[in-house]
Parts: sequence; structure tokens; C-alpha cells
Amino acid sequence: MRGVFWRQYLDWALLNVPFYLQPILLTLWTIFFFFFAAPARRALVSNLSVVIPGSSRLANHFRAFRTLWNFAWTIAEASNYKLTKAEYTYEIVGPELLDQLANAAGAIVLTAHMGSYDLGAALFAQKFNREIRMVRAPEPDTLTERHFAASVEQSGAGAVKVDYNTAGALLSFDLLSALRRGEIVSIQGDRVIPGVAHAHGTLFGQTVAIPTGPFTLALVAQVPIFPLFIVRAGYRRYQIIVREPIIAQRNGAGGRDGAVDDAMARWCVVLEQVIAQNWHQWFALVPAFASDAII
Amino acid sequence: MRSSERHGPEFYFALPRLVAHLRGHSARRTEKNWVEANIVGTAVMLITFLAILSFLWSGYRPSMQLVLLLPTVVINWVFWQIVLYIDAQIIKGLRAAGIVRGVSNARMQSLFISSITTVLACYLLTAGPLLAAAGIGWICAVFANLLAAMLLAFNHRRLDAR
Repeated sequence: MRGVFWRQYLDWALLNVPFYLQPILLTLWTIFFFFFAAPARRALVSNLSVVIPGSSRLANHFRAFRTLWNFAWTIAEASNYKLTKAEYTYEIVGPELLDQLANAAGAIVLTAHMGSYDLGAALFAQKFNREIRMVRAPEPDTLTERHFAASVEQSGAGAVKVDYNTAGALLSFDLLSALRRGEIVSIQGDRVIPGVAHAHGTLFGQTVAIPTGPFTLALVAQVPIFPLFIVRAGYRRYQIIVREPIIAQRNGAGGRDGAVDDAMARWCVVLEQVIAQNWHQWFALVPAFASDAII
Repeated sequence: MRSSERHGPEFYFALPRLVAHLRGHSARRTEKNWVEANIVGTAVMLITFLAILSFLWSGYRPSMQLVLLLPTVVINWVFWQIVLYIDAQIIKGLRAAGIVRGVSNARMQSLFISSITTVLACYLLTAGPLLAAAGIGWICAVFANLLAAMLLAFNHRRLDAR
């Protein structure tokens, strides 16, 4: 289920299938993946049991289907934008904060595996005529990774550059330089991959591993962190949610670690609120909480 | 998709555009219309589903037919995957031969899809009153849409001529 074939098939379908047949075919494909992508389904059910306390396992299977269906829509609509520059409408929650971000001399956009972050980055780059460096976890499949990077760069007409978050330290220096040059760096802050620096935060009363990189970068580069989420609001409609910036700064005896922990705790509060409202678009296809995750 | 494709009289579903036009509303409809996308897609799938159901399982007992509903959905889905692939190869061939130019693949596919669905709707006419009603519904919708497209195209030309 992880090969590049599915991405290529999606591109083919978007160019060859009339738009009115796409919704129903997409739903049928979601049913297919719901049954055959069992690890992803199990991870969603497990994460949902924490996000929605007291929820039944059966109901969470339906919720997991809804999440997968939204996932299918978001990747399809992002590809559609890349291939046909299809029209999308979007509403901004916190427009003054988005303007602040657009005018910032260096900022970190902290987001989650939620909604269509790649489409959002492309729309942002287009709207504000600014370049974005997007950092994301590498895909398990190399060809898929290349396909994704090419897609995002094509969608953003070259204004969105993709970097992969690996265990190496070189990327950190590269991103620090970018921030000091006044660029915007977008990072997903809801999941860690093995080998990447992380600390434990709290979401929904459970321990989660959160990457420390964005907070350390913000502290060193002295730039604000803008929590930003792109949520699908309907057929070709999106909602861009921007929250108050988080400033990582040393205060008191905590030093650097204290500043990072404090910023991370504030990020966890925002993340929890947004996930609680949009659980159906949190594409955590691996176990996220300490009881299930390998952290 | 080019803007002319989105807004011109040759738009996929001319009937709702004509109705909107006659009611004095804006006839400008785009692919962002969720209702149209879902209704037409579901109708296409329903007609093929009923045709497959009738073609493959009409000799079975009603209780058995009920059991076979799920396999029919799968067959219907696979059927469309194969049809879309074959259509794409035909379109590729037509392009290579220089027969089709300036029309997008999706539009060409639409022509094939509506033709195939109409053929299957005609087949339903012979398959009992309920299924025949579904077939008649589809055929009427296709003709109404074609008529609306002609009227809109005529109106469009008349406005262009002024």
C-alpha cells in the first residue's frame, strides 16, 4: 500500500476520470483501503479511543473510515491542484495572524498530519508570494518520496521546497540559516521518526513523543512559531486555522531546556484543541500515544 | 482545466445551468458544485449496478440476490476501472491518429461513460418495471441535458453575434 503506484494511479485518475465520477470512485477506494490497509486502520482506531474518551471500538471503526475518506479527499484534491490548478475556496480563521506570518522575517509554521498541508503550503506561497521550506518525515518508499517532493514543488510553482527530517544534523544548520535569512520553515510537530530528537509531551492526558527540533530552532533563531492547520471544510473548500504564535524564550533557571519544554507544552495545548475539533482529519496513521507507539 | 471549459455552454451538466438561467440566476456553475458531482456520479454507478445485477443474477432467488448485492458492488467498481483504462487507451490511440485534438481526456472519457451508461439504461428497459423506470429516468436525463446544451449553445452564439 506504500508504493508509488497508488500516487501515480491517483494522478492518472484525476486527469482521465471526469470530476463527477471522482467522488464515488474515491469512496469505493476508501472502502478498499479501509479493509486492506489494516495497520493504518488499527492505528486510527487506537488513536481515536484516546482522542474521544469513552468511545466504543465499533464507533471508532466508523470514525476511522471517515478519517481515511477525508485523507483520500485531501490527497486527491492536492494532486488535482498540482495537475489542473483546479479552483479551491478557503476561509481563514485568524486572518490577522496569517498576515503576521506572511510579514514575519523568519518564522516556523508548526503543523500536524492534518488536512492538506501540502495544498495549504502551495496556496500560502501563491497568496503571499513567499517561499516555504517544508520539512516532513521521509516516506517509507523512496519513489513515493520523490513523487511527493516533485508534486509539492510543482504545486507551489517552485516556491515550496521539501526537506526530509532525518537523523542527520546537517538539515538543522540548513534550516537555521534559512530562518536567519528570513524564510518560513514549515514542520510537522505531531509525530517523530526514530533517531530524531524528541521529548515527551501530553495530549489528551497521554504521553506523546513530540519533536524538539522546531522549538530549539525557534529559540536559537529567535523566530516565532505559528501553529497552522489546513482543514478540509467540504468539496473543494478548506479552512486555514492560524493560532497565536508561540515564542520560545529563556526565562528563569530552566535555561534552554526549560524554554523548549515550555514552548512544547503550549504547542501541545493548541494541538489538542485542534485535534479534538477535527479528529476526522488527523491523519495519524501510526499509533501516536505512548501506550501504543514505539518512542 | 481551462476557464472556457468550466464556464462555456458545453459544460458537462447543461440542464441545471439552463434551469438557473431561466430562473434569472447566474448560469455560471463550476466543478465546485458538490451536489451535481455526487448526484451524477451516483446515478452512473446505480445504472451500471442495476444492469450488472439484472444481467448476472436475474435467475437467482430474491434471498440469494440479496446476498449477491455486495459482490455486485465490487464487480461494478472493477468494471469501471477496466472501462476507464480501456477508454484511456482508445483516447491515446485517437490522439496518436490525430483524430482528437483540443479536448481533455476527462471530457472524452465523459462521452464514453455517458454512452456506456445509456446503453446499459436501454438494457434495463427490458428488465422489469422497477429497473425499466431507472433506465427511463437516465435516458430522459441525458436527452434533457443534450437539449439544454443545445439551447445554451444557441443562446451563447446569439449573444456573441450581438
